Amino acid sequence: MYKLKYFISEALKGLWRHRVMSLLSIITIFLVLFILGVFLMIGANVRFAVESLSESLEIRLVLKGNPTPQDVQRLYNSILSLNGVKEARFISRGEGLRNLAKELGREDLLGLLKTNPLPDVFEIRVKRASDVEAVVRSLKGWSETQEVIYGKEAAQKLLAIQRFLIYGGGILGSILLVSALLVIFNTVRLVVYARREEIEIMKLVGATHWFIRFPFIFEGVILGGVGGVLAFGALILSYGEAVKVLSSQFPFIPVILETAVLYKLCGAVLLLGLLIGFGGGLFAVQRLLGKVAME
Amino acid sequence: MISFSAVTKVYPHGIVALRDITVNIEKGEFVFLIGPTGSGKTTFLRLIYREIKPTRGSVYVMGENLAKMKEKEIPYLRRKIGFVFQDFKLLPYKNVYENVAFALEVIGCDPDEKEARVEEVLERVGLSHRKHLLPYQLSGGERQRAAMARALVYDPPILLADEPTGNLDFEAARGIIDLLVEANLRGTTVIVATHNRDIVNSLRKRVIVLRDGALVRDDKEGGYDV
Ligand SMILES: Nc1ncnc2c1ncn2[C@@H]1O[C@H](COP(=O)(O)OP(=O)(O)OP(=O)(O)O)[C@@H](O)[C@H]1O
Ligand SMILES: [Mg+2]
Repeated sequence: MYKLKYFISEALKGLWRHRVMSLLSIITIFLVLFILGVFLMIGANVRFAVESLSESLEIRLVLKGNPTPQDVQRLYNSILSLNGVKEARFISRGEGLRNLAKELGREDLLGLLKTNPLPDVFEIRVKRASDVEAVVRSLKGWSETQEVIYGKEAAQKLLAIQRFLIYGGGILGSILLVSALLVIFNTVRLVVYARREEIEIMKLVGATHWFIRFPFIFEGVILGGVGGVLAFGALILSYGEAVKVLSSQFPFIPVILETAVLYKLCGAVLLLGLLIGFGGGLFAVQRLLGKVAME
Repeated sequence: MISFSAVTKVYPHGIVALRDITVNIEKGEFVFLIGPTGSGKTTFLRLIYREIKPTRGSVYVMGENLAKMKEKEIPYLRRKIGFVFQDFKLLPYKNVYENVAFALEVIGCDPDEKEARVEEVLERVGLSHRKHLLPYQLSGGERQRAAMARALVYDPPILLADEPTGNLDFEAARGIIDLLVEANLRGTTVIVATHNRDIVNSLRKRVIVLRDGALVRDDKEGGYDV
């Protein structure tokens, strides 16, 4: 207990003694984590938007002849059991005609036509744009199928966008993540390196390695943690503002409003700060400890 | 207490700092280690507190073979050894009291005992009235006294001093040597590497002379020159 107090007070004293450097590293860590967070949020939102669009992709399965209600039920079950299908809705020729009449604004259409020229149809929605092709292929193989109608180009474009996001975003995100790690790691290392003299003297008077390590690890965690908390707050605040502006200027762009997702993202950023602070502190002091032990 | 047996130390680039040294230092001895610059005095001391390992031969301190000592045990060896260096090695942002207390904090001493021991040792080296000053506010002699206090505060059985008077005038040097002699009278084994001819000659203690890494003289009550 006495020791824990000692470690924390040593860490705080150390940070205060090198306050300019500490402040600079907190700012650095904050900025890096903030940029990373912004990127993550943009990424999550673009994905969200693409997914929303995918959901509006529609496949129309046109049926042959006159299926019985049992046939319809059986087909409905088969459709739902296909991979990637989100929902399906049966539209009978009668319902189709009524919809058409409503759209044309000619309620008398039903009377004008002697027979209903429309087929029975299933409207199918998929979860992701990448599922469209496979679903269409399956449907085409069925004997009840007259025709499958879908926005081939739209599906392919969305698919391309999604691929780009997954690979491009993955690469960009990894680069950003690695540089964030390096910057924070190095910052913490610099802070510790400024203290080599102290470490040398601690070793000389018989401090154990763990005793030397602890204050530095605490310092790293404090630096990373403070940077992380600041980034967390700034991300939440600026996201709220960005959403406000976006939804008033471009109301048609879908954005994530679910706060749980946001907090999870920002929490990850904070955790990252803490972890890197810990790792940076440990690694740096380890290097200094190792140096004299050689020869 | 301390024994070197056929110790050779070769630094990187093939620099031979000590060659085939065999020497025995008993508990309670006071030893001057002298020799021209580069003769291996500092190397000799660094071997004792296991800053470095011998290339060949073995070093025993209080019955332990340092070559076989595990990394983890080194801190406990160091708690039995006090050090004083020419450049004091005080932490610049801690005052005298804190610098001395640091040595006890590091070994996990409890706060009450710490305070009592620091006050006592500061009294002993005559720095009680300077305890709130930072190192840069002290004279060279006072700085070395602070370093002495830090070395003595945990009552080590062995005290090593590497040119402790190197940066001091005659008066201040005398004061530091008096402290070393006093520690020795209390039973501490003291080894002092020095270039200070007058002090070696006036004390008539055991003198070990190194030249180019070899032991060339070992006199019971020796002087600086033959
Ligand atoms: N870390 C090192 N790497 C390589 N060579 C070293 C190292 N430390 C010391 N030496 C060499 O070993 C030899 C002995 O050095 P040492 O410091 O023991 O001498 P010294 O007797 O203490 O000298 P001085 O009186 O000037 O302090 C010197 O030639 C020195 O250059
Ligand atoms: Mg030397």
